[in-house]
Order: sequence, then C-alpha cells, then structure tokens
Amino acid sequence: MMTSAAGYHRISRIATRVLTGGLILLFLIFISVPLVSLFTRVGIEDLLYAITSEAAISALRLSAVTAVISTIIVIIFGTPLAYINARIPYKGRNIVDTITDLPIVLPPTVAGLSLLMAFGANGLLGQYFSIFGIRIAFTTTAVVLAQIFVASPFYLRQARSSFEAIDVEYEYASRTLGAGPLKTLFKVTLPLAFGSLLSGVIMTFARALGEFGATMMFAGNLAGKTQTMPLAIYSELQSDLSISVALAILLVIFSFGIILIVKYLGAWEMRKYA
Amino acid sequence: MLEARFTRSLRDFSMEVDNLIVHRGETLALIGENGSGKSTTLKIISGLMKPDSGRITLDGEVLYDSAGKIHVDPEMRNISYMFQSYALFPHMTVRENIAYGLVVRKRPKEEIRVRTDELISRMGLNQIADESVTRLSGGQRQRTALARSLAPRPSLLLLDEPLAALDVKTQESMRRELATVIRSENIPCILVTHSIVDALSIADHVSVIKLGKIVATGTPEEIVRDPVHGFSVSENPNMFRGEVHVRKTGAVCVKIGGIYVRAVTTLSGIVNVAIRPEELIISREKLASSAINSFEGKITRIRPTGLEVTVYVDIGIILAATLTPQSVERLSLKTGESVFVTFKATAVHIFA
Repeated sequence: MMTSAAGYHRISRIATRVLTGGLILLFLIFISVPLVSLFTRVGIEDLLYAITSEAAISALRLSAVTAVISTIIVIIFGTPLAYINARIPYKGRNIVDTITDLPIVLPPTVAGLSLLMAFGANGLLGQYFSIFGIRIAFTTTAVVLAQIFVASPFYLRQARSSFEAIDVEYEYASRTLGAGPLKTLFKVTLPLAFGSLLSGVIMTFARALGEFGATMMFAGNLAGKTQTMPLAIYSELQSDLSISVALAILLVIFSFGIILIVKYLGAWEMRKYA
Repeated sequence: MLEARFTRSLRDFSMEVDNLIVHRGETLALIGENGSGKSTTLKIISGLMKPDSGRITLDGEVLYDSAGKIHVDPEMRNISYMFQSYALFPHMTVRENIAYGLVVRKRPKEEIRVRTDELISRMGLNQIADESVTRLSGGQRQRTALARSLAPRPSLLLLDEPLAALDVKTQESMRRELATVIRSENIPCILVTHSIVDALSIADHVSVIKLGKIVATGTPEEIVRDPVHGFSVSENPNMFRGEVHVRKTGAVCVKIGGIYVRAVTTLSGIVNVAIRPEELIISREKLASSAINSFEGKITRIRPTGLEVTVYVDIGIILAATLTPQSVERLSLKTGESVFVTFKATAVHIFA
C-alpha cells in the first residue's frame, strides 16, 4: 500500500514536471522562432546596406526625434499629475485614473480616429486651429500627439505606483526639517522614485517608438514627415523587404535591451533600499 | 514654551485637547494606548495635520489659530519630529541625513560641517558617518535620527515612540542615552510612548491620553500612583474584582478569591482592586515589617520583562511582582519554590 502511494506520488511529480517543462518550451518556441527567423532572413551585408538606405535613415531619425519629444512631454506633464494622484485624495480621482488608463486598452486605430476627429481640419478643436492656419493632422506634430496619446498611460501608471511606494514619512521628515514642498520633492521624493520613474520613462519611450495604428490614422504615412520606423517597416514590405527586415531587427534588439534595462533597474532599486 | 489646544475629528473619535503645555527645557511624555491619538497630537503640533479648531503657540509665536485663520507650514515652525520608523533618507549617508535640516535652511557650509561633526562624535557615529543609512543597526539608526532632529537646534522636539523600533536590550541603553541627550540639549520635548518605563526615565511630566482626550497630567510618580489612569497605561497584571469587608476591629479587608487583603478605602461592596507589581516585596522568610499583608505562596513563573523580572506567586490568587534581576539572583528564586509576598495596605488600590 505504502509503496503504491509513494509510486503514485512519484509519477504525478514527474508528470507535473514534464507538463510544465513542455508548456514553457512551447511558449518559448512560439515567441522566439518568429524573432529568430527575422535574423535568418538577411545577411549582414544586406543588413548594413538596408540600414544605411535613405528610407531607413529617415524613418530612424523621425522615430528617434518624435519618440524623444513625446516622452519628454509625457514626463513634464505626467510627473506632477502622477504625484498628485498618488498623494492627494480628491473627488473624482478614480475617474481621472480610469481615463488616463483608457489608451492602454483602446485599439490604436480607434485612438487615431479619435485624434483625427478632434484635431483634424474640421475636427472639434481642429476647426479653431484652422482659423489661424494651423494644421495638425498629417504632420510631424500629429505623430507626436499620437505617441503621447497611446504611450502616456505607461508612464502615468508607473509614476503613480512609484510615488505611492515611497513612505509619506520621508516627506514629512523633510518638511519638519525645514524643507518646503518643492524642495522636498526634488531632494527626497524624486531621488527615491528615480529608478522606478526611469523604468516608466523607458517603457513609455518604447511604446512611443513602436506606435503604428494611431500614427497611421492621424498622421498618415508620409516619408520623412510622418513615416516612423513601424510605418516604414509596413511600407517597405511592399518595395524592399530587406529594409523592412533590417528596421524590424533594429527594433527587436532595441526592445530586448529595454526589457533588460527595466529588469536591471528594478533589481538595483530593490537592492539599494532593501 | 508650547501651549496648544485643538480639536480634530478622526474616523473613530474626536481629538479634544484642552491645554497641552510644555515649558522651556521640559520633557512631556504623552502616554496612551495604540490609537488613542498620540501620534495625531504630534502631527497637529508639527503642522503636518491641520486641526479643525484651536490655537497653538510656541514661545509666543502663533503657529495655528482657527480664529485668525493662521496655519504655519511645518517647514517654518522649527519643530523637529523624530518618527517611530525614524524615516532616515535611504538615498543619503549618515552625515547627509544629519546635515539635511541645515542644508535645506541654506546655512553657511562651515556651520553645517561644525554642527554635523559635533553631533556625529557626540552620538558615537564617527565610524559609520559616511555609510548609507540602510546598513545601520537599530541603535545606530535611532542615534542618526536623533542627531538629524537636533541638528537645526529646533524650538521643540517631538519624539514618536523613539524606542519602539529597537530590541529590548538596545532599548535599555538607548533609554538612558536619550534622557541624557535631551537634558543636555535643553530643548523642550514631547515624547509619545505607551511604555511607563520610558516616561519614568525620560519625562518631567506625563499626560495620559485616552480616545483623543488628555485625562490626567502630573509628574511620572503621580501618574504611576494614579489608580485609574496609571494602571490603564502600565497594564497592571494584578487587577482583580473583590468585595469590601469591614471587621469588628474596624480593619478594612477586601475578599479576592479565597483570601482577605487589608486595604484602605471608603468604598463598599464589589470593587476593583489593583496592586502594583513594584510594591510587592518577595522574601524567603516571613518579614517582620510595618506592611500588614503577608502571604506565603509558590512561584508559578519567572519572566524577564526588559529591565526587570516579573515573578508570579500563587497565594490563592496569582500576584505578579516586579523585581530587579539582581534580586532574583540574590534570593535564587526558582519556579515551584515557596516564598513570602508582603505589601502595605496602602499599596492596595481600590476603585469602583
């Protein structure tokens, strides 16, 4: 009796191991095979040629510039907003939180269409801009707006939780030691939140860099003006596959680097204040 | 001198502090159970929390006045607040933490260096002055926090359970050190604690706070002897219900369980009885003394409690007696042994 029960346990243990192992393996294959196949598609020379092509360089430059600008704007406006939402309970805070989170679940094409309806030449706000001869839709500004729209929630969420994670007593201590609210923010709160905020910045930058749907709808696909890397990947698919693949590889490497940095930052933060 | 009166409604009860006064160079211990409003009082005095109404002045300067709509921000009050968690800035070294109050006040560099160095050596932190505060022991954290609070020479020092975060052994030495430092700095101080031992060894006055109200104020000795509030804070284990009997001779006794204890009271009938553990004398032989209550009993338990040892003796009821570890050793007390417990009639506090 004893041995059969023990045997049963052994078998079930092995079965569990095989099952979980198999599941993990299956998932890894599913994710990595498509990525690896990108790299097998083109040789290194083709890659170098493709990356130095005009279309690629122009897309790269545009992507870098717009993603940096939108990330900076998100940081400037998002940090105080996240801080207020983390520290000050006010009426309707939950509603604000829900609305700021909305773009995460909203399909990017819907986001793009909404932006077009608001800022297009005849849009809700766009019509007033038109009076002054300001055009927003289908310009580089539209690229930045689309990126802010879809990427800001990543920063807002992360920033709010990093501020919430900081014990309010640090701020209290700073205040009673003679530092005003602003000094406290810059000397205590922000330095303590820095690592965590930085992960938020990187995630936001990555999301802005990868923005496709909303940009396509709201800014169009104009080479050198609104054609960012993801859009170029899509366009070059029809003309020069190697450029498309080369850009894709760049984005894969970049994304992988981001995941590593964010993970490292998290671990570093944990070690520092544990 | 600090004078404060304020009200503030909280979730569970309302704070109503009528007259909280701390004189120059004096230490007031605010003692009470968890959730009685001790920390809230400190938050209100420091300006971190706004009361609903009242008036707070420090050395004649108005810090809060509901009538005049005055609320001075915490950074302008010059009141240092040492938190129970110490709240040392984890991204700074010991030295940077101590200097913080001077740096944000933009004091001259030389003054900051001198004052910081002075406190570092005073607190014995020289070896670890440039270490990150995350690597400190409990005692070192407490010293750093205290030095940081003292550095700007505050007009008032608020200490929230300064010893609670330490282990029992460190508590003993830090308690003495804290008392010395507070006295030598001559800064008025409010100490929040739930330990009567802290209050006794550090404070000049003690206020007992209960559900947001100060119910008693006096010297530590007065509060310890206060039959109502003194016991509620020290959690006297010798609390009983008894019945008052008056003998033909006129002697007043209280019957607790099966034994009769001599007491002094004008009450009658069923009463509450409290006997302070500190007032019990434990001896091997029956004592010939003025103390009228003397019982023989068996030791049921010997328990070290911080500075002292609590010895439980079964004399029909179980009495807890507080002794020094030295006494326990001298008498070589052991569980199961027979001893005499002696105490005065006046040590038996009777209340309704």
